[in-house]
Amino acid sequence: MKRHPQLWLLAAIILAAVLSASARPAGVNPYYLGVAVDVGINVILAVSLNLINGHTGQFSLGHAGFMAVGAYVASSITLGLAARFGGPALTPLLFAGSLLAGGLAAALAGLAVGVPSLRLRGDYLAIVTLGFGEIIRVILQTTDAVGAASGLKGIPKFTSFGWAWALAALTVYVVACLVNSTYGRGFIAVHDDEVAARSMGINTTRYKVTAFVIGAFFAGLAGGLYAHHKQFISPGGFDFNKSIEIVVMVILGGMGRTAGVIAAAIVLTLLPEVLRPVAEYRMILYALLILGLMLARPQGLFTWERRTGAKPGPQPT
Amino acid sequence: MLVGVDFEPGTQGGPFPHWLNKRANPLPRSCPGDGWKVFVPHSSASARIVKVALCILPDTVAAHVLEVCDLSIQPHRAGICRRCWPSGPLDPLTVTEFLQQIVNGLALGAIYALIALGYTMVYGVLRFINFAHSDLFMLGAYAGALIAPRLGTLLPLGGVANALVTLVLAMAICALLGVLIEILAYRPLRDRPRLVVLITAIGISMLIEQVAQNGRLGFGPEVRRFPALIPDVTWHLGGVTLGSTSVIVFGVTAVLLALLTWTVKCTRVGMAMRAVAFNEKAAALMGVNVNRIISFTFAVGSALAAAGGILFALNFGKIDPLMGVQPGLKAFVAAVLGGIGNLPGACLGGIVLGVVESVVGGNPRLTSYRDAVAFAVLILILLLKPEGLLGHRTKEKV
Amino acid sequence: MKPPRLQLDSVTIRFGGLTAVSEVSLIVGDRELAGLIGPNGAGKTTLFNLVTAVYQPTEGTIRLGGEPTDRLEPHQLTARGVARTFQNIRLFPSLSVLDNVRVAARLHCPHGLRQSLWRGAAFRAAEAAVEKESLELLNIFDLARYRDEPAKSLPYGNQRRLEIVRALATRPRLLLLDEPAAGMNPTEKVALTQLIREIRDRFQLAVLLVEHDMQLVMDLCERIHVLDHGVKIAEGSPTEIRSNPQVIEAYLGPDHAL
Repeated sequence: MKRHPQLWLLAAIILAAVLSASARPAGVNPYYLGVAVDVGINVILAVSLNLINGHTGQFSLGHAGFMAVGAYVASSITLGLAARFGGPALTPLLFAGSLLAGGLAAALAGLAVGVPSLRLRGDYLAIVTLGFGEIIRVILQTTDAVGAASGLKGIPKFTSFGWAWALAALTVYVVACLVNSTYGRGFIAVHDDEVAARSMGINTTRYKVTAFVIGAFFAGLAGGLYAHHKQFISPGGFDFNKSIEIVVMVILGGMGRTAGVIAAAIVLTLLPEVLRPVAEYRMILYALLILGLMLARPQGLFTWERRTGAKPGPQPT
Repeated sequence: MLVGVDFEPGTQGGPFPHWLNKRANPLPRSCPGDGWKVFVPHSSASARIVKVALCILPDTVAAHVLEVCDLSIQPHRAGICRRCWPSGPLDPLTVTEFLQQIVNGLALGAIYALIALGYTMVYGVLRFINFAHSDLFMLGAYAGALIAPRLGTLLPLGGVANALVTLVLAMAICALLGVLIEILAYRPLRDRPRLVVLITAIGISMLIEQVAQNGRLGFGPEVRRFPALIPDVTWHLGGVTLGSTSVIVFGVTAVLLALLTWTVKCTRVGMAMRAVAFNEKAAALMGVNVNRIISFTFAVGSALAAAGGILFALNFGKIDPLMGVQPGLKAFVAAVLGGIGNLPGACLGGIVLGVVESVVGGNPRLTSYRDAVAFAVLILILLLKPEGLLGHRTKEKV
Repeated sequence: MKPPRLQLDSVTIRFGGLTAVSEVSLIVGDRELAGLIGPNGAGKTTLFNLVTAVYQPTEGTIRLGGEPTDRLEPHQLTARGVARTFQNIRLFPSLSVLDNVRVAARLHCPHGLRQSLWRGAAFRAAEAAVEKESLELLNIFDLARYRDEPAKSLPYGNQRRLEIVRALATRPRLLLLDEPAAGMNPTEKVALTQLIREIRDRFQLAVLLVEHDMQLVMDLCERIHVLDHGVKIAEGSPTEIRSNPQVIEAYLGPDHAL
């Protein structure tokens, strides 16, 4: 398993595809399938943000902006080509293509945001990424070609449980493989101590920008999945609150702990669904639960996972 | 069709794009798409006049406007049907228009500055972003709205005195709430990592917003009218219009800033605040009661936020449970722009942001980009001066 | 003649009005054990920061093996064979002992992002080689048994030694040690002296160290440079420095001068 993580990825993708293909015939409630897709998308978002905020230690508050870029680019492509492509045989190809294009466009945006991160740190970086996210949103809101404030409607429903979970597996694979390699330990070194990292020959500039680009790419993929799941997107759905939601997942999961972040993404996606029966008090309870969690388990929900070999030990005296 | 709309026809109008004042005279414009005519009101940014315009809108038209501009997303934003605005080169603002925007921007900036001060003060002592601050801004406005009408019957005072008492009471209530939040939520986490406190702050903010939006527990989600605390008077200086609300905004802000500066610079508690901001542990060793100073900081910051909320509501004539979100975000930006932790910086940042926003928003073709421009300015300034306008550069010691 | 490992030609740095290092010239030869001493605030650490490009000199040039180093970033300098430790230990606290060393080994690891994701045979071979080399280095300092402990949980002395291991993993030709013996007891200091000499011989590198423990400096260094108030006041063998009146004055004040 340690030697061939690729096989695990392959197995996960096949499993997702098989489950997805058999779910509808087996009569699984579509509502549950929809929630499962949400879970997959949020796992992608949280794990990719974890690369930036957790592993690399940059504080980004603009993840929803990258998601928006991916969502808009991907759905514009499918909306433009769906009529011409027609055939169901080509649908997966078209979808994969538009997702990829969305991811790449978001990665480009990530490059643009990553560059200021070279000069700024901490709260200043947070506010600049927040600003980028808001700028993206305002631009979308005023661009008639993508429906301005009313957004894009009638996006074909291409996203299935299989797509969401396969791409979630890919995201986890990429981030986990990166930070568990001699190359990728540089990300953690940048997080821990930039000065020391530089003096150990780590090109911190390059690592930070790389983290932003990869993180943004996967956020873009998630955006594409989201658009083809909800079939409707509007700029308001990618605002500051969405970014905060993802940040909360990363922090609750315990910054830089992949397994914890996945678990937090799942829990925080399911929580509002579970709370549906209490309707009008749902979000109040949600807020109270987050507060309770922070008071009870401030180190993150899932702290038993060891981070790249290190386990908690006594502090030097 | 060219119209400032609320998300519901018939309710109070939203902040109106100020440039509309200038395009004067009742101006029938027709929308090629639907054939409805909407009269754009003459002069004054006052929301009450906008309401007149809205009231003559039949529901179907309002629905159409909603469709085109999707105002439901930002209820207190004025919308313009961009499709109907004649496209062409940018209209440059005339000198008077420009001056008008500066005046409007200063009023908006003063409010931003009041909120930004709270962010920056809390950051100074505790080094985290108090997300709940924007909700105290909202609560301040609601406190004002609830107190003002009752006050009129209780105390036989004049209008201005009533307004002042309302302001002071709302500030006191919010100061109390701010201290309560600090003691209940932040104090138990004092030694925890900053991120934990940050998430807690986000949780508090969510909680307040959700409770406020809940009809049974709080105020309910609907937009409410904010009582006119002071008589609406406008003065014309040259071509520039100055409303009584703007004057009040300037006056109150100036007085509060002077008070704050005096407190921080000239009193013992202010000195203790500066000491805690500089080094909490050292201050404690020098006999400063750190807990009390932190509570005091929250009280002052929250009171300023409440004042900002009332002034904002006064300026725009309406309140809703999410009214704090956008100004809060802007004020936070202003605080960082000025150099977070720096009091004069927060004021400067607020004013800069307000003016830039107004001048950009004053241009009809750019008005929908006003939020984006505010952030673009921020990014530009931070790239040139990463520590903010008045912040000090701290180079890491190797 | 072969150019020296490190050569400073009248290097000056000013921070605003303060001249922290003024017109300092010094040479460290290949495989030389050189010491840099001086009272607190003499500019020793600043000089280290200049050599490692954390600061750029206001005037003067720094050469490595004859090549000027201006306009290089710190990480590029490391690639040219300069490694350092820090006065106030700067390990990567969330990484294990082994991973701390492996981060530094990145410099000589051929693969990047693509290979890390593909994980082919070449990648696995390179990873194995990095692990082997890192463990060997840890063994020299008797730290291999803590390989999976978090670096921050080690006792102070071991943290200092781990910093040296980490620096060695970049395969330097010039090693800068900033107070390597700080906080060590006398036995540990003797061992450290021996160890530094050993690694010089084993890895064929030059060492420049800042140290307050005169015993250690005198025992270990072949050549000593003395800084005071940013100015170099003396240079010579340990015996020469010991009897240099200017040095004694700088350390003990004018009253004690002979």
